[in-house]
Amino acid sequence: MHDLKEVQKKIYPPMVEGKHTFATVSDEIGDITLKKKTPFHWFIGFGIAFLIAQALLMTITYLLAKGIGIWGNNQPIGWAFDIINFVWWIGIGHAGTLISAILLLLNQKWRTSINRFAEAMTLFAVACAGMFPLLHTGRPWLAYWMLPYPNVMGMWQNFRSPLMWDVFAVSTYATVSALFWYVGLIPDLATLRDRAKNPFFKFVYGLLSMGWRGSARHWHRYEIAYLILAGLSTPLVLSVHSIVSFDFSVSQLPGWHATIFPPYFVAGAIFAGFAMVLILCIPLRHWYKMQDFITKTHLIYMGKVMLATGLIVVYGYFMEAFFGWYSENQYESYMIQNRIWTGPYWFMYWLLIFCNGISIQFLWFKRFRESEFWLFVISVIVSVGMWLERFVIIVTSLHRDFLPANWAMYSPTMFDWSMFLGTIGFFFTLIYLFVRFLPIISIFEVRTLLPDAHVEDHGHAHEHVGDEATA
Amino acid sequence: MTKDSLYAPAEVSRWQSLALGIGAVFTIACLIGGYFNPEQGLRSWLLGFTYWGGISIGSLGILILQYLTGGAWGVVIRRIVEAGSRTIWFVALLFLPIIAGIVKIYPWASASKAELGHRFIYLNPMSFGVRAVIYFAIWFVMAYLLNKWSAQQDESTNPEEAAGFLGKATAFSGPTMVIFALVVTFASIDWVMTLDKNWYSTIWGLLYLIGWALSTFSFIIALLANLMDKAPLNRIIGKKHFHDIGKLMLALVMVWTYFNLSQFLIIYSGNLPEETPWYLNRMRNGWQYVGLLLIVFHFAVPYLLLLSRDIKRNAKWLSTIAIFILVMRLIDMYYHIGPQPFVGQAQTGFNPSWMDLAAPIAVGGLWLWYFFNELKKRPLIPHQDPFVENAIKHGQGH
Repeated sequence: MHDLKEVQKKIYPPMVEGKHTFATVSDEIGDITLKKKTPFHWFIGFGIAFLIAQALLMTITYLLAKGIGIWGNNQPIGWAFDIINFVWWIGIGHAGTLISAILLLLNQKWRTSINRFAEAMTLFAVACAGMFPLLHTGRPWLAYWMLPYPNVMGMWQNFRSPLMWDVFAVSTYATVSALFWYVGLIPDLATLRDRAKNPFFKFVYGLLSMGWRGSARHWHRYEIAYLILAGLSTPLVLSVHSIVSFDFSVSQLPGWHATIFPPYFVAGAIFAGFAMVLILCIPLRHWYKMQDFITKTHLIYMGKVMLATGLIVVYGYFMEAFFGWYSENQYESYMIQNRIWTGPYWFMYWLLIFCNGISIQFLWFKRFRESEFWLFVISVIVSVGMWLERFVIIVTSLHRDFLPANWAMYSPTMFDWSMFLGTIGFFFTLIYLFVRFLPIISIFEVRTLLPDAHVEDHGHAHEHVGDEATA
Repeated sequence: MTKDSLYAPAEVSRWQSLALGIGAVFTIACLIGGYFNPEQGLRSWLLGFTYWGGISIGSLGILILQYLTGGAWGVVIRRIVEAGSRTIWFVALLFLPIIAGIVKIYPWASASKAELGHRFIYLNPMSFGVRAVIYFAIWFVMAYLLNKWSAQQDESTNPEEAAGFLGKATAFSGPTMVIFALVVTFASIDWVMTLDKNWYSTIWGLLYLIGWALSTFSFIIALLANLMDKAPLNRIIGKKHFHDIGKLMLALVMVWTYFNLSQFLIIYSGNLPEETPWYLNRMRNGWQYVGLLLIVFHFAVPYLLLLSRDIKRNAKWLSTIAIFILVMRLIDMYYHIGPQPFVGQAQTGFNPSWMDLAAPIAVGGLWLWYFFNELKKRPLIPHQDPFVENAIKHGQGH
C-alpha cells in the first residue's frame, strides 16, 4: 500500500513543499507585508515602474490638449495602437479570472497559491485596457454618453455595435473581478489586522476586513459568496474576449470576418494571461523565497496550460490560412497572401509565428517547463507574440482593403509608444504596491492544502495526495 | 478486486443481439429505400454515419483527453471509451457506401475544374478518398496503441509497472491530441461542410470536436446508468461520478451554444452573399422551426436542468437528459445535412424522408452490436491503474 502512495505522489506531487504548519504559512506570507524590511530591489523596481508611468501621464496630458491626431492613426488605419493595446491588456486580464473561477469550479487545488496575484494582475490589466478606448473617444469626460440612460439630448446608443457590447462586457468584468478579488482577500486582511503592530496599519486592515472574526457562520457565508462569484465570473471569461473579437469579426473586412474569432481570441487571451502570470510569479517566487508555495509543479502546470492554449491559437492561424486559400474569394486570398509573404508587413507575421507558434514548442519538454529561466524567457516571447498578433490582425487587414486607392502604411508616433510603455509602467507600479501592502498568496487557502487540514479524515500526513490528484 | 468479476454483465450480450436484429432489419429497409431513391438513401446514410461515427471518434478523443487531464471520471469511463475507440475500423466500413455514392452526395464531385478553381485539387473524389483513408489510419493507430498499453496495464503486477503504462499513455496523448484535433477538423470539413461546395466557416472543425464530444459523454451517461445496478459496476459507480460527468455535459452544452451563436452572429452581421445561403436554407420552408427546436431543446432545457446539483447526482434523471441530448444531437446533425439542396438542385424544401430516421437506426444498430462486442472483451474498470481505488472512493463521496 505504501508503495502505491509513493507511485501516486510521483505522478501528482503535493502542492505545498517543506514542513509547514498553519502558523508558518501565516508567518511566511504575512511577514512580507508586515514585518520584513522592504527589500532594496523593491525600491529599484518600483522606482523604475513609477518613472515609466509618468510617460503615460504626460502623454495623456498632451493628448487631451491636442487631440488624438498626435497618434499615428490614419486613413484607412483608423484603429491602431489604441485597439491593439486595448486587446492586448484585456487579454492579459483573462488568466486571473480563469484561475480563480474556472479552476475553482474544477477543483484544481494548484490554483490556490497563484490566484491572489493573478486576480490583482487582472484588475490592473483591465485598468490599463480601459484607458485606450476611453482616450480614443478624444473627450473622455463625455464617456458616460456610452451608457444608455434617459437623457434630454435625444441620444440613443447603437446596440447593434459590438463596441457598445464592449462597454457592458468590460465594465461587468471589471466589477465582478474586483468583487471576487476583494471577497477572497477578506479573511487574509483580518489575519493581517490581527498580526499588525503598527496602529495605523491595524486600523486600515481592520477597516478593510469588514469585521471578519472567522466564526463558523462567517466561513459558511464566505464559501457561498465565493462560489456564487465563481459561477458568475465563469461565463465572463468567455464573454469578454468573445465580444472583443466581435469588434472585428462582425464586420466584412477580410482578415477580421472569420467565424473562428471568438474561441480563438479567448484561447489567445488565456495564453497571454498565463504568460503574464508566469512573468510575475517567477521573480516573486524567487525574490520572496516562495518556492514552498509556488512549487515546481505549479510552474509545470502553468507551462502546460500555456502550451495547450498556445496550440489552440496556432490552430486558429492555420484555419485562417487554410480557409483563406479554400474560400476561392479574391479578397480573402489576397489578404492572406499580403499578410504572409507579398505585403510589407510579412516579417511581422513570421515574427508572430516564431513567438506564438515556435517558441512554445519547447514546453513539450519537462526540462523547459521546470526551469524558471526558460519559462520566463518563453513567457516574455509569448507576451510580445500576442501583441504582434493583434498588430497583424488589425494593421495588415486594414492597410490594404478593397480599394487600392485607399491603401496606406501605418507607423506609430512617439506618443503611441509613450502611451503604450506608460501603461506598462503603470501596471507594474500597481503590482509593486500590491506586493508591498497585501498578501501575495492567499494565506488561508494555502493552509487548506497542508496535511494538518486533513487530520480528521485521514490521520496520515500524505494520505491525501492521491485524492487530490483524482478529484 | 479480482479481474474475472469485472467483466460486463450478461445483459450486455442480450443488448448486443437486440442491436444486431434492429440494425439488420433497418439496414435492409434502407437498402430497399436506397434502391428506389439513391440520393436520399445515401444522404440519410451519411446522417447515420456522422452521428454514430461521431461517437466512435468522440470516444477516442475523450480517451486521449482523460489521460491528459487525469481525474476520477476518466478512470471510471476509460473502458467504455476504449471500447468505443476500438470500433474505428468498423466505422471505416460504414463509410464505404459514402465513398461509393460520392457523386450522388457531394455537388463538387461532378463539378467542372472551372467551377471549382484552385480548390479542384482538394475537392475531387480521389483526394477525398485518400484523405479519408489517412484519417481512419491515424485514428486506428491512436486507438490501437492506447488500447494496447491499457491491456498491458491490466497484466501488470505492481504499481510501478502500472504507472509506467499510464505514463506512456499520458505522454503519447499530448501530441496525439494535436493531431487528433486537426484530423477531426478536416474530416468534418470533408464529410459535411462540403455538401455545399461554396460555403465555408472557419469554426467548423471546433463545432464537430465539441458536438461529437457531447454525443459521446451523453452516450456514456446513458450506458453507465444502465450498467450501475448490475455487477460489477454497482460496487464502483457512485453518484459523484455522475455529478462530475454531468458537469462536463453541462459545460459542453454551453460551449456548443457558444460556438453556434458565434458562427450565426458573425455570418448574420456580415450578410455576405457567399455566406448567408447556408443559413437562408436553414431559416425558411419549415427549417426555421428545427432551428428553434435546437435552441430550446439542445440548449435552454438541458442547460437549465443540468444546473441542478440534485439532477446531476441522480443517475436516472441524468441519463434521461443524456438520452434527450442524444436525440437532439441527431437533430443537430440533421440540421446540418438535411436542408442542403440535393446535387443538381438549387433549393430544397422541408422534405424529411423516412430514411432520415431509418438510416441512423440502421447504422446505430450495427455500431452498437460491434461496440457491445468490444465492451465485453475487457474488465469494465482498469483495475491495475494506480488511481483506481481513489477514483472509486471519490464516487462514493459527498
